[in-house]
Amino acid sequence: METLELNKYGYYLFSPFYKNESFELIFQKLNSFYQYQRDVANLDSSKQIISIPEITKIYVQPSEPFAQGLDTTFLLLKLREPLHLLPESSLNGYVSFPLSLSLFVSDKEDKIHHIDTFSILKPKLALYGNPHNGIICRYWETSFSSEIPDEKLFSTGILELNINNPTSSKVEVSQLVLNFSYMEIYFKPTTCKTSARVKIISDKFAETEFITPSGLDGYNKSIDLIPTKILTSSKYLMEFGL
Amino acid sequence: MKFWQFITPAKLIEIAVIVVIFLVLLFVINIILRRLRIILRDKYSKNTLSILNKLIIYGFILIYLLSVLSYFGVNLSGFVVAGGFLSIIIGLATQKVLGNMIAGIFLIIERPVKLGQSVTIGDVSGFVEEVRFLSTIIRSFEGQFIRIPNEQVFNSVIINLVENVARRIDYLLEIRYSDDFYKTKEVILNLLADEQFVLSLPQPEVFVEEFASSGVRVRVRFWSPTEKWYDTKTKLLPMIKKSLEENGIQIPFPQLEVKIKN
Repeated sequence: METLELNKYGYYLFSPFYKNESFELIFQKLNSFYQYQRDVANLDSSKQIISIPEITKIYVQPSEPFAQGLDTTFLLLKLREPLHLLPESSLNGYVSFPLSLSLFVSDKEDKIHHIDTFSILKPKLALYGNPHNGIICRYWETSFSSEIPDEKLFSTGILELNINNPTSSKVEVSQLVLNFSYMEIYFKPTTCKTSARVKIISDKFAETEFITPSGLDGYNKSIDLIPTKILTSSKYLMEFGL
Repeated sequence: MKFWQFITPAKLIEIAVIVVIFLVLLFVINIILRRLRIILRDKYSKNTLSILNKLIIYGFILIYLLSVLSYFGVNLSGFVVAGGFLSIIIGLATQKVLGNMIAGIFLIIERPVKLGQSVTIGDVSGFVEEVRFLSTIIRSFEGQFIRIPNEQVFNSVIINLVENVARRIDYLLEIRYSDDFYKTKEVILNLLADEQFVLSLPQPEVFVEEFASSGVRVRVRFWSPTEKWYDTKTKLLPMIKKSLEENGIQIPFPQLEVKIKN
Protein backbone atom coordinates (compact mmCIF):
# COMPACT_ATOMS: atom_id res chain seq x y z
CA MET A 1 0.00 0.00 0.00
CA GLU A 2 1.25 3.47 -0.87
CA THR A 3 2.04 5.84 1.98
CA LEU A 4 1.77 9.53 1.21
CA GLU A 5 3.83 12.04 3.11
CA LEU A 6 1.91 14.87 4.72
CA ASN A 7 4.00 17.97 4.09
CA LYS A 8 1.56 20.76 3.22
CA TYR A 9 -1.85 22.19 3.91
CA GLY A 10 -4.38 21.51 1.18
CA TYR A 11 -5.63 18.43 -0.57
CA TYR A 12 -4.09 15.00 -1.21
CA LEU A 13 -5.30 12.27 -3.52
CA PHE A 14 -6.73 9.37 -1.63
CA SER A 15 -4.36 6.84 -0.17
CA PRO A 16 -4.92 4.40 2.71
CA PHE A 17 -1.87 5.76 4.59
CA TYR A 18 -0.61 9.28 5.22
CA LYS A 19 2.32 10.00 7.45
CA ASN A 20 4.76 12.59 8.72
CA GLU A 21 6.97 12.86 11.81
CA SER A 22 4.13 14.08 14.05
CA PHE A 23 1.07 12.12 13.04
CA GLU A 24 -0.35 9.49 10.74
CA LEU A 25 -3.74 8.87 9.18
CA ILE A 26 -5.00 5.43 8.18
CA PHE A 27 -8.09 4.70 6.08
CA GLN A 28 -9.21 1.09 5.91
CA LYS A 29 -12.02 0.16 3.52
CA LEU A 30 -14.61 -2.15 5.11
CA ASN A 31 -17.49 -3.13 2.80
CA SER A 32 -19.27 0.13 1.98
CA PHE A 33 -17.58 2.35 4.56
CA TYR A 34 -14.18 3.27 5.94
CA GLN A 35 -12.52 2.88 9.27
CA TYR A 36 -10.43 5.96 9.93
CA GLN A 37 -7.59 6.05 12.44
CA ARG A 38 -5.49 9.01 13.51
CA ASP A 39 -2.37 8.67 15.64
CA VAL A 40 -0.57 11.72 16.99
CA ALA A 41 2.90 10.92 18.29
CA ASN A 42 3.14 11.03 22.12
CA LEU A 43 -0.34 12.49 22.43
CA ASP A 44 -3.41 10.55 21.43
CA SER A 45 -5.09 8.37 18.88
CA SER A 46 -8.65 8.01 17.67
CA LYS A 47 -10.61 5.56 15.59
CA GLN A 48 -13.96 6.05 13.92
CA ILE A 49 -16.20 4.66 11.20
CA ILE A 50 -17.02 6.97 8.29
CA SER A 51 -20.14 6.19 6.32
CA ILE A 52 -18.78 7.20 2.91
CA PRO A 53 -18.65 4.45 0.25
CA GLU A 54 -15.71 5.99 -1.62
CA ILE A 55 -13.19 8.67 -0.70
CA THR A 56 -11.45 10.46 -3.58
CA LYS A 57 -9.41 13.15 -1.79
CA ILE A 58 -8.53 14.30 1.68
CA TYR A 59 -8.04 17.91 2.77
CA VAL A 60 -5.81 18.96 5.66
CA GLN A 61 -6.48 22.52 6.77
CA PRO A 62 -5.36 24.72 9.66
CA SER A 63 -8.20 25.60 11.99
CA GLU A 64 -9.07 27.40 15.20
CA PRO A 65 -6.99 26.55 18.32
CA PHE A 66 -9.52 24.28 20.01
CA ALA A 67 -8.61 22.86 23.41
CA GLN A 68 -9.39 19.17 22.94
CA GLY A 69 -11.60 17.89 25.73
CA LEU A 70 -12.78 21.32 26.88
CA ASP A 71 -15.25 23.65 25.29
CA THR A 72 -13.72 27.11 25.01
CA THR A 73 -13.48 29.64 22.20
CA PHE A 74 -10.93 31.92 23.85
CA LEU A 75 -7.21 32.15 23.24
CA LEU A 76 -4.91 33.75 25.81
CA LEU A 77 -1.60 34.91 24.36
CA LYS A 78 0.98 35.43 27.10
CA LEU A 79 3.69 37.76 25.82
CA ARG A 80 7.17 36.77 27.01
CA GLU A 81 8.28 40.40 26.92
CA PRO A 82 5.56 42.89 27.96
CA LEU A 83 4.76 45.68 25.50
CA HIS A 84 4.89 49.29 26.66
CA LEU A 85 2.65 51.47 24.57
CA LEU A 86 3.15 55.20 24.87
CA PRO A 87 0.10 57.52 24.90
CA GLU A 88 -1.64 57.84 21.53
CA SER A 89 0.61 55.33 19.82
CA SER A 90 0.18 52.04 18.02
CA LEU A 91 2.22 48.93 17.31
CA ASN A 92 2.13 46.56 14.36
CA GLY A 93 3.82 43.21 14.57
CA TYR A 94 3.51 39.45 14.66
CA VAL A 95 3.09 36.66 17.17
CA SER A 96 2.68 32.94 16.70
CA PHE A 97 -0.50 31.12 17.64
CA PRO A 98 -1.34 27.42 18.12
CA LEU A 99 -3.35 25.60 15.47
CA SER A 100 -5.67 22.68 15.28
CA LEU A 101 -5.83 20.62 12.12
CA SER A 102 -9.09 19.85 10.39
CA LEU A 103 -9.46 16.84 8.18
CA PHE A 104 -12.04 16.73 5.41
CA VAL A 105 -12.73 14.01 2.85
CA SER A 106 -14.45 14.33 -0.48
CA ASP A 107 -16.66 11.64 -1.99
CA LYS A 108 -17.35 10.63 -5.60
CA GLU A 109 -19.66 13.61 -6.13
CA ASP A 110 -16.92 15.95 -4.80
CA LYS A 111 -18.95 16.69 -1.69
CA ILE A 112 -16.68 17.61 1.20
CA HIS A 113 -17.28 16.15 4.67
CA HIS A 114 -15.53 17.17 7.89
CA ILE A 115 -14.37 14.09 9.77
CA ASP A 116 -11.81 15.13 12.38
CA THR A 117 -10.15 18.00 14.22
CA PHE A 118 -7.04 17.46 16.28
CA SER A 119 -3.91 19.16 17.50
CA ILE A 120 -0.38 17.86 17.42
CA LEU A 121 0.53 20.12 20.36
CA LYS A 122 -0.73 19.30 23.81
CA PRO A 123 -3.14 22.18 24.49
CA LYS A 124 -2.53 24.10 27.71
CA LEU A 125 -5.22 26.15 29.44
CA ALA A 126 -5.39 29.26 31.60
CA LEU A 127 -7.93 31.17 33.63
CA TYR A 128 -8.45 34.79 32.62
CA GLY A 129 -10.14 36.74 35.40
CA ASN A 130 -11.47 35.28 38.63
CA PRO A 131 -12.97 31.79 39.05
CA HIS A 132 -16.52 33.16 39.23
CA ASN A 133 -16.67 35.62 36.33
CA GLY A 134 -13.56 34.65 34.41
CA ILE A 135 -13.13 32.39 31.40
CA ILE A 136 -11.01 29.34 30.64
CA CYS A 137 -8.82 29.98 27.61
CA ARG A 138 -6.43 28.03 25.43
CA TYR A 139 -3.01 29.22 26.64
CA TRP A 140 -0.07 30.09 24.44
CA GLU A 141 3.25 31.78 25.22
CA THR A 142 4.73 33.84 22.43
CA SER A 143 6.97 36.79 21.68
CA PHE A 144 5.89 39.94 19.87
CA SER A 145 8.10 40.67 16.91
CA SER A 146 8.32 43.20 14.10
CA GLU A 147 9.32 40.40 11.74
CA ILE A 148 7.35 37.33 10.74
CA PRO A 149 8.34 34.60 13.24
CA ASP A 150 9.25 31.05 12.28
CA GLU A 151 6.28 28.85 11.74
CA LYS A 152 5.97 25.13 12.49
CA LEU A 153 3.93 23.40 9.81
CA PHE A 154 0.78 21.82 11.28
CA SER A 155 1.51 23.28 14.75
CA THR A 156 1.57 27.07 14.65
CA GLY A 157 0.49 29.96 12.47
CA ILE A 158 1.22 33.67 12.22
CA LEU A 159 -1.01 36.27 13.81
CA GLU A 160 -0.67 39.82 12.56
CA LEU A 161 -1.39 42.19 15.41
CA ASN A 162 -2.30 45.83 15.45
CA ILE A 163 -2.34 47.31 18.96
CA ASN A 164 -3.62 50.83 19.28
CA ASN A 165 -3.40 52.95 22.41
CA PRO A 166 -5.56 56.04 21.87
CA THR A 167 -5.52 56.89 25.60
CA SER A 168 -3.41 59.65 27.12
CA SER A 169 -1.47 57.30 29.40
CA LYS A 170 1.30 54.76 28.97
CA VAL A 171 -0.01 51.19 29.02
CA GLU A 172 1.75 47.87 29.64
CA VAL A 173 0.41 44.81 27.84
CA SER A 174 1.60 41.35 28.89
CA GLN A 175 -1.35 39.22 27.75
CA LEU A 176 -4.10 39.29 25.14
CA VAL A 177 -7.38 37.38 25.13
CA LEU A 178 -9.20 36.84 21.83
CA ASN A 179 -12.44 35.11 20.94
CA PHE A 180 -11.50 32.69 18.16
CA SER A 181 -15.13 32.08 17.16
CA TYR A 182 -14.49 34.91 14.70
CA MET A 183 -10.99 33.87 13.60
CA GLU A 184 -10.41 33.83 9.84
CA ILE A 185 -7.48 31.61 8.89
CA TYR A 186 -5.89 31.80 5.43
CA PHE A 187 -3.30 29.33 4.23
CA LYS A 188 -0.80 28.54 1.49
CA PRO A 189 0.79 25.07 1.24
CA THR A 190 3.32 25.68 4.02
CA THR A 191 2.11 28.76 5.83
CA CYS A 192 -1.02 30.12 7.43
CA LYS A 193 -2.03 33.42 8.92
CA THR A 194 -4.75 35.41 10.60
CA SER A 195 -5.05 38.95 11.88
CA ALA A 196 -6.37 40.76 14.94
CA ARG A 197 -6.58 44.24 16.34
CA VAL A 198 -6.45 45.42 19.91
CA LYS A 199 -7.80 48.74 21.08
CA ILE A 200 -6.62 49.86 24.50
CA ILE A 201 -9.39 51.48 26.53
CA SER A 202 -7.48 52.08 29.77
CA ASP A 203 -4.55 50.52 31.64
CA LYS A 204 -6.89 47.65 32.71
CA PHE A 205 -9.26 47.30 29.73
CA ALA A 206 -8.89 46.56 26.05
CA GLU A 207 -11.09 45.45 23.18
CA THR A 208 -9.80 42.64 20.96
CA GLU A 209 -11.12 41.40 17.65
CA PHE A 210 -10.10 39.07 14.84
CA ILE A 211 -10.18 40.74 11.43
CA THR A 212 -9.54 39.70 7.83
CA PRO A 213 -5.78 39.82 7.13
CA SER A 214 -4.35 41.90 4.33
CA GLY A 215 -2.25 40.62 1.38
CA LEU A 216 -4.19 37.47 0.66
CA ASP A 217 -2.91 36.80 -2.88
CA GLY A 218 -2.43 33.09 -3.33
CA TYR A 219 -4.01 32.24 0.02
CA ASN A 220 -7.04 29.97 0.54
CA LYS A 221 -9.50 30.48 3.35
CA SER A 222 -9.86 27.66 5.85
CA ILE A 223 -13.35 26.38 6.41
CA ASP A 224 -14.69 27.87 9.66
CA LEU A 225 -15.62 25.08 12.04
CA ILE A 226 -17.54 27.39 14.36
CA PRO A 227 -20.82 28.46 12.73
CA THR A 228 -21.11 32.19 12.04
CA LYS A 229 -22.88 33.87 14.89
CA ILE A 230 -25.48 36.43 13.96
CA LEU A 231 -26.37 39.27 16.34
CA THR A 232 -23.31 38.75 18.55
CA SER A 233 -20.28 40.99 18.65
CA SER A 234 -16.97 39.72 17.36
CA LYS A 235 -15.21 41.96 19.89
CA TYR A 236 -14.04 40.73 23.25
CA LEU A 237 -13.66 43.13 26.14
CA MET A 238 -10.64 42.29 28.29
CA GLU A 239 -11.79 43.50 31.70
CA PHE A 240 -9.49 41.58 34.02
CA GLY A 241 -6.19 43.27 33.18
CA LEU A 242 -3.78 43.43 30.28
CA MET B 1 -86.50 39.81 37.94
CA LYS B 2 -86.67 36.11 37.18
CA PHE B 3 -83.70 34.34 35.61
CA TRP B 4 -85.49 33.67 32.26
CA GLN B 5 -86.44 37.38 32.09
CA PHE B 6 -82.74 38.24 32.51
CA ILE B 7 -81.84 36.12 29.46
CA THR B 8 -82.70 38.46 26.61
CA PRO B 9 -81.30 38.00 23.06
CA ALA B 10 -78.89 40.93 23.70
CA LYS B 11 -77.66 39.26 26.90
CA LEU B 12 -77.26 35.96 25.08
CA ILE B 13 -75.02 37.67 22.53
CA GLU B 14 -73.03 39.26 25.40
CA ILE B 15 -72.59 35.85 27.07
CA ALA B 16 -71.53 34.33 23.73
CA VAL B 17 -68.94 37.11 23.25
CA ILE B 18 -67.63 36.57 26.80
CA VAL B 19 -67.30 32.83 26.16
CA VAL B 20 -65.57 33.41 22.81
CA ILE B 21 -63.14 35.92 24.38
CA PHE B 22 -62.47 33.39 27.18
CA LEU B 23 -61.73 30.60 24.70
CA VAL B 24 -59.51 32.82 22.54
CA LEU B 25 -57.56 34.05 25.58
CA LEU B 26 -57.21 30.49 26.87
CA PHE B 27 -55.94 29.40 23.46
CA VAL B 28 -53.38 32.25 23.35
CA ILE B 29 -52.24 31.55 26.92
CA ASN B 30 -51.79 27.87 26.05
CA ILE B 31 -49.62 28.78 23.04
CA ILE B 32 -47.49 31.11 25.20
CA LEU B 33 -47.17 28.46 27.91
CA ARG B 34 -46.13 25.83 25.38
CA ARG B 35 -43.37 28.19 24.14
CA LEU B 36 -42.33 28.94 27.71
CA ARG B 37 -42.14 25.22 28.50
CA ILE B 38 -39.79 24.72 25.52
CA ILE B 39 -37.59 27.67 26.56
CA LEU B 40 -37.47 26.70 30.23
CA ARG B 41 -37.25 22.91 29.88
CA ASP B 42 -33.47 22.88 30.46
CA LYS B 43 -33.69 25.17 33.47
CA TYR B 44 -36.61 23.77 35.43
CA SER B 45 -37.89 20.26 36.00
CA LYS B 46 -40.97 18.91 34.24
CA ASN B 47 -42.81 18.85 37.56
CA THR B 48 -42.10 22.51 38.32
CA LEU B 49 -43.16 23.54 34.82
CA SER B 50 -46.38 21.55 35.14
CA ILE B 51 -47.21 23.26 38.48
CA LEU B 52 -46.38 26.67 36.97
CA ASN B 53 -48.61 25.85 34.01
CA LYS B 54 -51.55 24.92 36.25
CA LEU B 55 -51.08 27.99 38.46
CA ILE B 56 -51.21 30.30 35.44
CA ILE B 57 -54.26 28.60 33.88
CA TYR B 58 -56.27 28.44 37.14
CA GLY B 59 -55.21 31.99 38.03
CA PHE B 60 -56.44 33.20 34.66
CA ILE B 61 -59.77 31.34 34.99
CA LEU B 62 -60.34 32.79 38.48
CA ILE B 63 -59.53 36.37 37.43
CA TYR B 64 -61.73 36.05 34.30
CA LEU B 65 -64.63 34.62 36.31
CA LEU B 66 -64.45 37.42 38.88
CA SER B 67 -64.27 40.02 36.09
CA VAL B 68 -67.36 38.54 34.40
CA LEU B 69 -69.32 38.48 37.68
CA SER B 70 -68.31 42.07 38.32
CA TYR B 71 -69.39 42.96 34.75
CA PHE B 72 -72.87 41.53 35.41
CA GLY B 73 -73.15 43.61 38.58
CA VAL B 74 -72.50 40.91 41.16
CA ASN B 75 -71.15 42.45 44.38
CA LEU B 76 -67.71 40.88 45.01
CA SER B 77 -67.10 42.35 48.47
CA GLY B 78 -68.58 39.20 50.04
CA PHE B 79 -66.09 37.06 48.08
CA VAL B 80 -63.22 39.26 49.25
CA VAL B 81 -64.22 38.90 52.94
CA ALA B 82 -64.81 35.16 52.59
CA GLY B 83 -61.52 34.84 50.67
CA GLY B 84 -59.70 36.72 53.43
CA PHE B 85 -61.06 34.43 56.17
CA LEU B 86 -60.32 31.37 54.09
CA SER B 87 -56.75 32.58 53.50
CA ILE B 88 -56.17 33.03 57.26
CA ILE B 89 -57.53 29.55 58.05
CA ILE B 90 -55.54 27.91 55.24
CA GLY B 91 -52.47 29.94 56.20
CA LEU B 92 -52.57 28.81 59.84
CA ALA B 93 -53.25 25.19 58.92
CA THR B 94 -50.53 25.00 56.33
CA GLN B 95 -47.88 27.28 57.78
CA LYS B 96 -45.02 24.84 57.15
CA VAL B 97 -46.25 23.95 53.68
CA LEU B 98 -46.55 27.61 52.75
CA GLY B 99 -43.12 28.32 54.21
CA ASN B 100 -41.64 25.59 52.01
CA MET B 101 -43.59 26.81 49.00
CA ILE B 102 -42.44 30.42 49.41
CA ALA B 103 -38.86 29.21 49.95
CA GLY B 104 -39.28 27.11 46.78
CA ILE B 105 -40.40 30.17 44.80
CA PHE B 106 -37.36 32.12 46.05
CA LEU B 107 -35.07 29.20 45.17
CA ILE B 108 -36.54 29.11 41.66
CA ILE B 109 -36.05 32.87 41.28
CA GLU B 110 -32.60 33.15 42.93
CA ARG B 111 -31.36 29.83 41.55
CA PRO B 112 -28.40 29.18 43.87
CA VAL B 113 -28.50 25.61 42.53
CA LYS B 114 -29.39 24.42 39.06
CA LEU B 115 -30.48 21.05 37.72
CA GLY B 116 -27.59 18.62 37.38
CA GLN B 117 -25.11 20.65 39.45
CA SER B 118 -23.04 19.08 42.24
CA VAL B 119 -23.80 20.81 45.52
CA THR B 120 -23.51 20.50 49.26
CA ILE B 121 -26.59 21.66 51.16
CA GLY B 122 -26.03 21.46 54.91
CA ASP B 123 -24.75 17.91 55.47
CA VAL B 124 -26.02 16.57 52.15
CA SER B 125 -23.88 16.37 49.01
CA GLY B 126 -24.91 15.24 45.56
CA PHE B 127 -26.43 16.22 42.24
CA VAL B 128 -29.54 18.43 42.04
CA GLU B 129 -32.23 16.28 40.46
CA GLU B 130 -35.20 18.59 40.84
CA VAL B 131 -36.24 21.85 42.51
CA ARG B 132 -39.93 21.39 43.32
CA PHE B 133 -42.25 23.92 44.96
CA LEU B 134 -42.08 22.20 48.34
CA SER B 135 -38.78 20.34 48.27
CA THR B 136 -35.46 19.92 46.50
CA ILE B 137 -34.44 16.46 45.34
CA ILE B 138 -30.78 15.50 45.57
CA ARG B 139 -29.15 12.34 44.22
CA SER B 140 -26.23 11.73 46.55
CA PHE B 141 -22.86 10.76 45.07
CA GLU B 142 -23.62 7.24 46.37
CA GLY B 143 -26.87 7.23 44.38
CA GLN B 144 -29.34 7.80 47.24
CA PHE B 145 -32.58 9.73 46.76
CA ILE B 146 -32.67 12.64 49.23
CA ARG B 147 -35.60 15.03 49.67
CA ILE B 148 -34.87 18.28 51.49
CA PRO B 149 -37.74 20.65 52.40
CA ASN B 150 -37.20 23.96 50.60
CA GLU B 151 -37.28 26.00 53.81
CA GLN B 152 -34.30 23.99 55.03
CA VAL B 153 -32.51 24.45 51.70
CA PHE B 154 -33.15 28.19 51.82
CA ASN B 155 -31.79 28.53 55.37
CA SER B 156 -28.76 26.26 54.86
CA VAL B 157 -25.27 27.07 53.69
CA ILE B 158 -25.20 26.00 50.05
CA ILE B 159 -21.86 25.12 48.51
CA ASN B 160 -22.15 24.91 44.74
CA LEU B 161 -19.22 22.76 43.64
CA VAL B 162 -19.47 23.56 39.93
CA GLU B 163 -20.76 27.14 39.65
CA ASN B 164 -17.29 28.66 39.14
CA VAL B 165 -15.28 27.90 36.02
CA ALA B 166 -12.13 26.80 37.86
CA ARG B 167 -11.26 25.18 41.19
CA ARG B 168 -8.05 24.75 43.11
CA ILE B 169 -6.49 21.40 43.94
CA ASP B 170 -4.30 21.09 47.06
CA TYR B 171 -1.98 18.23 47.96
CA LEU B 172 0.12 17.93 51.08
CA LEU B 173 3.17 15.70 50.67
CA GLU B 174 6.04 14.81 52.92
CA ILE B 175 9.62 14.24 51.83
CA ARG B 176 12.62 13.10 53.85
CA TYR B 177 14.90 15.69 55.46
CA SER B 178 17.72 14.27 53.34
CA ASP B 179 15.83 14.99 50.06
CA ASP B 180 16.42 18.20 48.11
CA PHE B 181 13.30 20.38 48.25
CA TYR B 182 14.27 22.39 45.14
CA LYS B 183 14.62 19.22 43.11
CA THR B 184 11.24 18.07 44.46
CA LYS B 185 9.72 21.36 43.39
CA GLU B 186 11.22 21.08 39.90
CA VAL B 187 10.01 17.49 39.43
CA ILE B 188 6.45 18.38 40.50
CA LEU B 189 6.28 21.59 38.43
CA ASN B 190 7.54 19.76 35.32
CA LEU B 191 4.88 17.10 35.78
CA LEU B 192 2.14 19.72 36.22
CA ALA B 193 3.35 21.69 33.18
CA ASP B 194 2.87 18.60 31.05
CA GLU B 195 -0.71 18.04 32.14
CA GLN B 196 -3.40 19.61 29.91
CA PHE B 197 -5.97 20.28 32.61
CA VAL B 198 -3.59 21.92 35.07
CA LEU B 199 -4.04 25.63 34.36
CA SER B 200 -0.91 27.60 33.45
CA LEU B 201 -2.56 30.69 34.97
CA PRO B 202 -2.89 31.00 37.97
CA GLN B 203 0.56 29.44 38.13
CA PRO B 204 0.97 26.18 40.08
CA GLU B 205 2.76 26.58 43.42
CA VAL B 206 5.01 24.20 45.36
CA PHE B 207 6.31 25.36 48.76
CA VAL B 208 7.45 24.10 52.15
CA GLU B 209 4.53 24.20 54.54
CA GLU B 210 6.10 22.78 57.68
CA PHE B 211 9.10 20.99 59.13
CA ALA B 212 7.28 18.03 60.63
CA SER B 213 8.57 15.29 62.93
CA SER B 214 9.16 12.73 60.19
CA GLY B 215 9.90 14.92 57.20
CA VAL B 216 9.43 18.19 55.33
CA ARG B 217 5.79 18.90 54.47
CA VAL B 218 5.41 20.21 50.93
CA ARG B 219 2.24 21.92 49.73
CA VAL B 220 1.29 21.60 46.05
CA ARG B 221 -1.38 23.98 44.73
CA PHE B 222 -2.76 24.36 41.23
CA TRP B 223 -6.01 25.19 39.45
CA SER B 224 -8.07 23.12 37.07
CA PRO B 225 -11.24 23.74 35.00
CA THR B 226 -14.17 22.76 37.23
CA GLU B 227 -15.45 20.11 34.82
CA LYS B 228 -12.04 18.38 34.92
CA TRP B 229 -11.32 19.02 38.62
CA TYR B 230 -12.17 15.58 40.00
CA ASP B 231 -10.43 13.62 37.22
CA THR B 232 -7.31 15.78 37.49
CA LYS B 233 -7.23 15.58 41.28
CA THR B 234 -7.49 11.80 41.37
CA LYS B 235 -5.11 11.30 38.45
CA LEU B 236 -2.16 13.45 39.49
CA LEU B 237 -1.39 12.41 43.06
CA PRO B 238 -0.16 8.90 42.18
CA MET B 239 1.70 10.38 39.21
CA ILE B 240 3.53 12.80 41.52
CA LYS B 241 4.47 9.93 43.85
CA LYS B 242 5.79 7.88 40.94
CA SER B 243 7.72 10.80 39.50
CA LEU B 244 9.31 11.64 42.86
CA GLU B 245 10.36 8.03 43.38
CA GLU B 246 11.90 7.90 39.91
CA ASN B 247 14.01 10.89 40.93
CA GLY B 248 15.12 9.31 44.19
CA ILE B 249 12.82 11.39 46.39
CA GLN B 250 10.90 9.38 48.95
CA ILE B 251 7.93 9.84 51.22
CA PRO B 252 9.21 9.11 54.79
CA PHE B 253 7.74 6.66 57.24
CA PRO B 254 6.86 8.03 60.69
CA GLN B 255 10.06 8.03 62.73
CA LEU B 256 10.72 8.04 66.43
CA GLU B 257 14.22 8.35 67.81
CA VAL B 258 14.59 6.53 71.11
CA LYS B 259 17.65 7.29 73.25
CA ILE B 260 18.33 4.93 76.12
CA LYS B 261 20.25 6.47 79.01
CA ASN B 262 22.25 4.00 80.90
